[in-house]
Amino acid sequence: MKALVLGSVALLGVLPFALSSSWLLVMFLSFLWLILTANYDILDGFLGYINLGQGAFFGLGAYVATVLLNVPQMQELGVLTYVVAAGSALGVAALFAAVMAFPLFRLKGLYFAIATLILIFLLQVLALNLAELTGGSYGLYVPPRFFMSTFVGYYLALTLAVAAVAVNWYLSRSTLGLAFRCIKGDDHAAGSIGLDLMRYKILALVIGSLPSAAAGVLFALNSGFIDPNIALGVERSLLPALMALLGGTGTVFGPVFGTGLIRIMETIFFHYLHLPVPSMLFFGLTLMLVALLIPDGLMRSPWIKRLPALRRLASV
Amino acid sequence: MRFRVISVSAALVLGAVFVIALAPSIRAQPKEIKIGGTMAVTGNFAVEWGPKAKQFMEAWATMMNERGGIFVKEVNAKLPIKLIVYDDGSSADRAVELYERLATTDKVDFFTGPASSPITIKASTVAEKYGIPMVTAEANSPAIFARGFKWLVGADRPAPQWAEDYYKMVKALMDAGAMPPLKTVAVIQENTPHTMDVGWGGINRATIAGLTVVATETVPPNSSDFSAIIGKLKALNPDIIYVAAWAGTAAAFAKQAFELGLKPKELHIPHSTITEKWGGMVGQNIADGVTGTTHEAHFKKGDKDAYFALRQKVGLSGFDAGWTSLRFIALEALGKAIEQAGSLDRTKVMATLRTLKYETLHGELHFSFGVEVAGKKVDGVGNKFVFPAQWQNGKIEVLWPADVATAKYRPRM
Amino acid sequence: MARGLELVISGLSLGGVYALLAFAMSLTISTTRVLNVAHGVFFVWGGAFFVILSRHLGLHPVLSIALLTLLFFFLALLFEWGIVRTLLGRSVHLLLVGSIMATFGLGLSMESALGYSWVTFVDPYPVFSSSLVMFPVHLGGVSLSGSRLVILAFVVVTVTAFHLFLQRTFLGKGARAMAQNFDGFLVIGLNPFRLSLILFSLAIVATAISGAFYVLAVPLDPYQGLPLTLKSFTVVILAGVGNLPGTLVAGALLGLAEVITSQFFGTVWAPAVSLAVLFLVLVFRPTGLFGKGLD
Repeated sequence: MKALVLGSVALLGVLPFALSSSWLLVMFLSFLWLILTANYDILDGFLGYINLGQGAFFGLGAYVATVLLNVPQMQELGVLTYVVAAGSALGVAALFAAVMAFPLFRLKGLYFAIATLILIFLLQVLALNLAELTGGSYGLYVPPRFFMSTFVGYYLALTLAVAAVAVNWYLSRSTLGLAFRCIKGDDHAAGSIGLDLMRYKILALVIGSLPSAAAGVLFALNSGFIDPNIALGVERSLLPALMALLGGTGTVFGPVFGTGLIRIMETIFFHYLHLPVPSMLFFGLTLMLVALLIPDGLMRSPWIKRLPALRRLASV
Repeated sequence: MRFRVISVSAALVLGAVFVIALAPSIRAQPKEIKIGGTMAVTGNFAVEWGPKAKQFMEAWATMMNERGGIFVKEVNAKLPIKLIVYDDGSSADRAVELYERLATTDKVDFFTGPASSPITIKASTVAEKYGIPMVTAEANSPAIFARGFKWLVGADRPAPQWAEDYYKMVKALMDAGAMPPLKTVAVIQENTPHTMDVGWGGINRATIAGLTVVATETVPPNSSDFSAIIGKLKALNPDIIYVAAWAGTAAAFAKQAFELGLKPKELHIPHSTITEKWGGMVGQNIADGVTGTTHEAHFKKGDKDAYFALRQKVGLSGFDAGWTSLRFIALEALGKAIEQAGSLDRTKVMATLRTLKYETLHGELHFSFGVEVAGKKVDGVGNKFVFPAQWQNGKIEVLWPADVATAKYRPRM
Repeated sequence: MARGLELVISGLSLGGVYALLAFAMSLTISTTRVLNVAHGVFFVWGGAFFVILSRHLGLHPVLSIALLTLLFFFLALLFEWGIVRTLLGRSVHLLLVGSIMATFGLGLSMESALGYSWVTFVDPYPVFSSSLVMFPVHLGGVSLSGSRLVILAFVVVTVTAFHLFLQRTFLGKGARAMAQNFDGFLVIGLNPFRLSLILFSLAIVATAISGAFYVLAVPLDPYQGLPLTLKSFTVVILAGVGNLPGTLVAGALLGLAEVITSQFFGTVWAPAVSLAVLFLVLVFRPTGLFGKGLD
């Protein structure tokens, strides 16, 4: 199994030399989605909370970095500019996660899910209304000299994605992850055996915020332009949940396959299908069929178990 | 023996070098003109654009090919157009992926513009990156054209300038006694780039007609509840209410205003006359008397017969989907630039576009560079303007200018 | 004073619109555990078909509603047969997960289908709005929106009817029983498939008719489905899942918050305030205003 994983990563590492820049971009964006999905799964698969606001960390990362990059004093710092911008983005996201954890974790299940959804809507409204800071509906530009080419972005995003999945892998084997799963199973019991529930919950939310915020920074640097829909749109919160569910929550490679499946479907329907009827129609129908046929995600479906190579991946 | 090996190898290498050197020029005989772009066929921008936009562009390409194509002097032949339009589903991410694909895989020669300001902003960066001329149609936010890009032009006149024509008409009508003397205006603007631009015009150009702006209200996108604003405006009682919102939102406002008893002397909703269906949304009772602006008119100049034929072909009539005039002009301009440049060379075509002047549906089209609009320095903006219009007897009538006007202004009360 | 009263009534009638969005969804989740992400899409379809029937085909509104009921009854059957049956036997968690994913896909395809069909067959501008019921109401010095009052009346009547259905009738009690304990329900010998069929038909027809009423006041387009589902979801949660009369109160609360914010802080902040109110209520009452934590 290790060979399979390392081999795949190595393959991804050399792919940019063979791909056209449009495919590079597709892959770059796919890695960003994978990061969001893997982070989402920390909260869902391990801790048992459905976080419909994962996109908030992405959006905060993108906006904080872009706002800072537009500050004249910041622009003169050379390499330090990137460091400060990215660092602040991560800091703000982590702080947001830590602070929001308190009110959020009073809730459970559907109620928790809605509360997280409210957060992302609120952030979107703030981004729209605080126009002096965020550019409002007109959005914000990243000064051209800070642009990151898709080639460089690909490698950074790949590294970050590998790291995010590695975090999930670590959680699946560590006592920290075990603590999360105890809380997921029965948090009263977990509390009564002495686990400091709040500490673990805050930790989970913060860990899940950092790579997503970094993904937001990478996105902004490559995109050159963000607005409340692009950076804080609700799809950035809903799709990771969908990808995680399709891949199988609580598994290390579930996010990888879930993201892959959806991105492949999307690419087939929008890049290749040339029918008068909208591509979205087919995408939606296929999604529905896939969802009906795979009850608990790819990693736990009977078909995966039949393929020996994948069976090992699924049991991680 | 060794000599033979060496000489054969050398010949092969030389031959390969020769072929490789020649290859570009062998490939350089184009057989068609490839134009590409994306369109919001689904998703939230599809309300304003949608499948019809894609169909219209494809119909244009078919029409041009029926005419034999475009004559390109460099190859001394008429070349057909191959138009590739992808559905971006109103997603800026996907639009960029697809424009990159058009540039690198489909290898198009020129780009058309997508739907909406944010997507146009992102798509134009792809155009700029590869040096591919892009002619956008409806996108007319100054922000798009204020980035110093060299490969972008747009057919439409910037949105902040829409108010100028309206207020000029107001002033002229007041001077002629056809409109009662009006002094105050209140502006409501929906918080999306285009409608904020239109609102900017409403606020900052009011002085053209000697009006004072007494209230400015910004509403969230897709607002449906205006009860608080209507209450405030009833107290202020402005003469004109200028509603810079998309058609659906404006319809909600008009209905509520009617029900809550807000009756200004003049209700100006630019997007109310952009689609023929707005009247049906609010009912004739409410629609009649509302003024707006429209892209569409009974054009008398340019290739108007071809234009109207195309509209009929995709099932559009009357004032439906008036932005087709912009799409038509944008595509026509690109075609003319290719023809005048006599080449498919992107630099030559772009240079031709910059100085292009020809008569089209609304009059002479040309692109302006280095002009100031709404406090921004813009390049590449066109001059297709909108026509002030009014709902009368359940139909849209163009009021201004005189050569396309179909009716005279009727006061609301 | 009159202005204050006007604001309150505007807020309440806006609340009626929110309750309109939410009650059918509350019914569905609480009784069947299926989370229909395409709820907003059915709502929009309801509005769209109502406009086709009443405006484009010129049918009498009551006839239009009747035909709408018939049409959506069949759609509900399809929905039930295609999606719900496949999901019904699964565990609560898998049912929820499966329903989210499947209805998400369904919603995407339904909205594209509507968008494309409307533009191709009906007219090029896909915005649905009806001007059938529009009249100003002036009482004393207070102006009210007649269409909103009609919506409020409809919603109060329908919510009361469904509430009584759940509390008093055998079917209603059966639905609640099925939600509380699926296995126990089977043991008693009742047929879950038939019951879920009835429930879904009721819920989807109610959603569609709600959509028809909605477009009397607010224009809709095919792509409003997902935003409306999310909005409706927030009202359901605020009320507490399963509490139908609660949706009226929750709606009223949100409507008042928005109207008051618009009046004193500007309409741009109205969405933020209603979101904040929602969040705060959840923080202090984690299962919603009246919820019992049915999860």
